[in-house]
Amino acid sequence: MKQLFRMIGVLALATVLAAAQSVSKETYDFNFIGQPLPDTVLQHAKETFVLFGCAYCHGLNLVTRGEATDLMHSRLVGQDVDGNLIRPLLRAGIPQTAKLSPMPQFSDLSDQQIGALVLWIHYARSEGRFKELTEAKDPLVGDAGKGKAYFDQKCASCHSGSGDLAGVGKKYSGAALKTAFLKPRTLDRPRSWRVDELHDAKTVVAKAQHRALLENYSAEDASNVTAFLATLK
Amino acid sequence: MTKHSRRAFAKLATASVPLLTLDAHPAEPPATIINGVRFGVETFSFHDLPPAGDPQLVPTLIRDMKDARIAECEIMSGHVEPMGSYATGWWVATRRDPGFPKMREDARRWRLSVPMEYYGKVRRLFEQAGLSIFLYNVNFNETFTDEERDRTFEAAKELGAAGFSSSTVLSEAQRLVPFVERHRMFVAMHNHNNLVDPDQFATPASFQKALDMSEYFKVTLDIGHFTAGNNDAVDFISKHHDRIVNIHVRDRKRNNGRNMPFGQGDTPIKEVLQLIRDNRYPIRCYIEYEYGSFRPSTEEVKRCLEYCKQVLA
Repeated sequence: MKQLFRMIGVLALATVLAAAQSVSKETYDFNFIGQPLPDTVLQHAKETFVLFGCAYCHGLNLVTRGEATDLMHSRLVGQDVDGNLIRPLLRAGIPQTAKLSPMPQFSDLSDQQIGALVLWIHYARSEGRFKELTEAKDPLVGDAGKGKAYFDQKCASCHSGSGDLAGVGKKYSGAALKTAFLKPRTLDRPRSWRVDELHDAKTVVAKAQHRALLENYSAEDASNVTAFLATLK
Repeated sequence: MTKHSRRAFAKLATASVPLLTLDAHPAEPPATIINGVRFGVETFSFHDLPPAGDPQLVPTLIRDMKDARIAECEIMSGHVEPMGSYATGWWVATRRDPGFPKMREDARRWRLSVPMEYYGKVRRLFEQAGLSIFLYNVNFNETFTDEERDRTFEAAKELGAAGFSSSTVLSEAQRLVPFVERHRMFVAMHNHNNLVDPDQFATPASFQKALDMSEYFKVTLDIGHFTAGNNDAVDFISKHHDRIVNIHVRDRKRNNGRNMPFGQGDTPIKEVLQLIRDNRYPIRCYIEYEYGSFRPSTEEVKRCLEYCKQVLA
């Protein structure tokens, strides 16, 4: 009997919690915002991007609407590091423009709110660029020599063809190899509850660097590096 | 708590309903009227529509207007024609795209060859739903040919529109003078808040230049953009009410500030609506929803209208 009461109690509590958390289609546009992301920090960043009206002009996933700047391919966004270029631009807006409607200023937002916008812009851009690079209808044939030159310049400070990447060309092939280097598993690994992992500088830096690279690879770079990695048998 | 009898409650309920009437009487255009002020919607407000050219676009728009209980609209050309406004040169940046000349030529060819019945069918869909198109929103620009301008005026007539609303520029307004005179149809200039380009509509002075060109030039005053450009919407309406066809009701902050939920920005929405109500200006007030929200756009349009109802109560 005691167990039955406990079960009823648990069920009642679950029902109350479900009701409290349920969101109606009138108050939350799942069609536009999409289902919640597993990473709550990113989910908050995405919702901030919607709430302050950025998503309407620039597109939630940076597929631009209207005459707004294409953030997926903007050079400024590609060069931005933790908001060093985006923050001041958001605070001031772009009143000097040939466009019909100037980009508004967001000087009333807090640093945290601007930070969330910056986080979403970089995340959405890297996801979008990954899609573009991996879903191209006619992928380019890469040049391994040019790929090696790119690797030596951008990757060799952390990776080595005879070290951690030895045999990678044997392990993966074609599209799988491209996917593996564009988006290493560490990028999508969920956040850990372990404080030592959360603040592990090596992982944090690696994630940031790979995201920055992913945001800026051209289709040619991606094909060339893939061709070079394929030679590492 | 005050107790009401069933009869008293019914009386109270019916007394509040006429604030918003969706009157589809065939002899008169349908209207959404709140305390004497006539409301409509800029179709740009509905963000969840199928893409241009999709046969479900107009039926979805009609469904959304009925859901929001708004009887008339200013319909964007991209919601009527099978191509978005960008294909007809609205955005300067798009005009620089390598693919633009072909896209523009295709759009022109479509406009010049489509039977006028195409537009008549759109008008009938609205009429059958008890709704009406008051303005055709076409953003005239230098990429239009004269033949195309003429054809666009014919299209507006077939849609049943009284005239145009247009996000255009002063140099194009000059080109439009012979067309508005010949077709005897007005073009209402819509402003943004670009204060650095003297060709744009953004200040009282820029409007005045167009108003001086022809009596067929009118104003669609976007009170949100006007406020973001640090202009005084109440003052402008007081002085130019006889040339203002409609206003776009939106809320923005001053100094090129962002779009805000109604009542939270610097735009004097309350003062403007009360000015129109108290002076019985025949200026229509069109909701334009653009700020960020988690809600679907139709729900948000309803909230915008509800805010207007409250400030006019």
